[in-house]
Amino acid sequence: MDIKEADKLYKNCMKILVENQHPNGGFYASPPGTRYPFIYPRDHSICILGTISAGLLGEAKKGLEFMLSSQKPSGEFSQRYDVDGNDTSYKDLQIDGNGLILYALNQYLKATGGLFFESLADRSFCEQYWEAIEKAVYFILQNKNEEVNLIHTINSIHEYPAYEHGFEIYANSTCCAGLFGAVKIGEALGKDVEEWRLHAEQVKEAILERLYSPRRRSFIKCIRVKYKSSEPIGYDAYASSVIDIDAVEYAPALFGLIDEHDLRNVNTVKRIDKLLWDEELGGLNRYPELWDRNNGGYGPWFHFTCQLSNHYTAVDNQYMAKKYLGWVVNMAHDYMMPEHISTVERFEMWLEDYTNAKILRDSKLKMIDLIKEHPKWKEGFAYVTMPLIWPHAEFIIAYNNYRKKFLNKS
Amino acid sequence: MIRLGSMLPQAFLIGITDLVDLIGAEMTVEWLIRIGTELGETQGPGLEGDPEGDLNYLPMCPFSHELIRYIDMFGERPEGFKIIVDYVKEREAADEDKVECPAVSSVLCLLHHAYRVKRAEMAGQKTLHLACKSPLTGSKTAYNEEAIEKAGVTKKDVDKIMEKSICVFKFVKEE
Repeated sequence: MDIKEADKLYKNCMKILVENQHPNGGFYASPPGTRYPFIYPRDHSICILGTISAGLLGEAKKGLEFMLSSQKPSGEFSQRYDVDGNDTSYKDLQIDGNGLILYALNQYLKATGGLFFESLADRSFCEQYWEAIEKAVYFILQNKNEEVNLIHTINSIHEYPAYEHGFEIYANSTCCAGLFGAVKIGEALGKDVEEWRLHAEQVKEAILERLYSPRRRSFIKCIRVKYKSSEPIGYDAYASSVIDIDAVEYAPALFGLIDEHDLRNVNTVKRIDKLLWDEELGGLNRYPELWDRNNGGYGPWFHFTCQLSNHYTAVDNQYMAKKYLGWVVNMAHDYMMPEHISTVERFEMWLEDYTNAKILRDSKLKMIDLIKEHPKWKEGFAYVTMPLIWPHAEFIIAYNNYRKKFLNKS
Repeated sequence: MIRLGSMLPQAFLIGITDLVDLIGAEMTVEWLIRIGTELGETQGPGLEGDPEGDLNYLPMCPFSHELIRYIDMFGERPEGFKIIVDYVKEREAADEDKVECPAVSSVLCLLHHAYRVKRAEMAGQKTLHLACKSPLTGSKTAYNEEAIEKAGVTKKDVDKIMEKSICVFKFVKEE
């Protein structure tokens, strides 16, 4: 990996993150005038984690304030908001947003305290939003199935109910990490959070037992169940499992529920690398090509590639960490990153599929124009949604981890 | 055929037609508006739809599947629905605040509009419902011409968006 180039990319990622935070606190998913000029709690939370990693705690606090003030009366964080914090969602429940906000809030609290947690941690901020924290926790617990102790969702990270409706691994890992985060916050504030801890432990145990396949030696994607309250779930209309490979099967370790060295995680990552590393383009795909839901053509995603590099860094595998982060550095354009990239050939294949199926809509037609206008098109690449802010935050986190481990920089 | 697990939406639609017989169109309309408002309150501030310039639109009607299923089962335009839509149109024609009325193309527009208005109101915005088309084949677009004028656009502007949508509205910040 070219460290000078990586440093330049890192600096620009910080700039992009700061520039794309609206004065009200929300991080745009993509800049105004592009594809996603809204605030999505999922992307927004990772941006907060990016600012925390970069030491931009003021920006992190502003981002948290924005989200905690925009909570729905039920305790849910919506799929999408406008810059004023109004719900503008158009998709069903995405409960990982609740987990991510709680998780990010606890990371913020820890970061403000640092080595002097007792005296410096920003407890007053958490106290100010304690009611919102409670509501966010209760909303997660409302969606917990008491038969299997897992959290039910309709959409998760890929916004694709066909594979995510039920007990999905990213949603469960983020919600579980969020519950543990809320417990830590509660403890710091002297609240009684014992019941929350028991729920968090139950969810964690269920993830390790029910969303892990010993024969495959891998976490699995999802237990498909239509209704959260189905009991027994064996009689639910959807009752089945999704065992396809997915980059987010690494989520239990990414959110600190199990150790990076745990064999269940090590083997899951091996499987992800084996089946999702793109042999033609490099970089990590998010799920198998045959799901055929690849806007702009199938290809590797920058933020999943960054995420998995964290594993290799954590287990001291510098060769692989360099391979993953080096790819991100090499494929960034003008020190910026798109959502994902593809080849012109794969783009045309996707276009044919979607045209024949008559499922292209306005926003996708606009996206197609932008892909073809991008300078990389002439080099044979499709750069899809440029820039997406999320991978810039992931790179900050991943590169900081890499530098601390291998370059002795804090 | 109704599977038992998915009978509730159909039961609700049957309930609407029954209520027209039992308590009349006026009370049924009020009941639908109350439901929309109450559900809106539970969801908090929100502005729905895809933006296009100053206007917002919905590419699809959220109730179309259930409505079409109902019509498939019970036949074209049940009398109760027709009575409600006719009553609302008549009432609106005489309404001095017509600009705030929904452009009603089907009975469920009343419920939907009340929900949308309540959530926008909680976000400090007024709602102008400019046009709406029922998902049923061959139905005409319903317009609120006063709302279109107040929105500062023309019917032609609205029709252009209606080519790719089923419902057009505008949110205006309350002063």
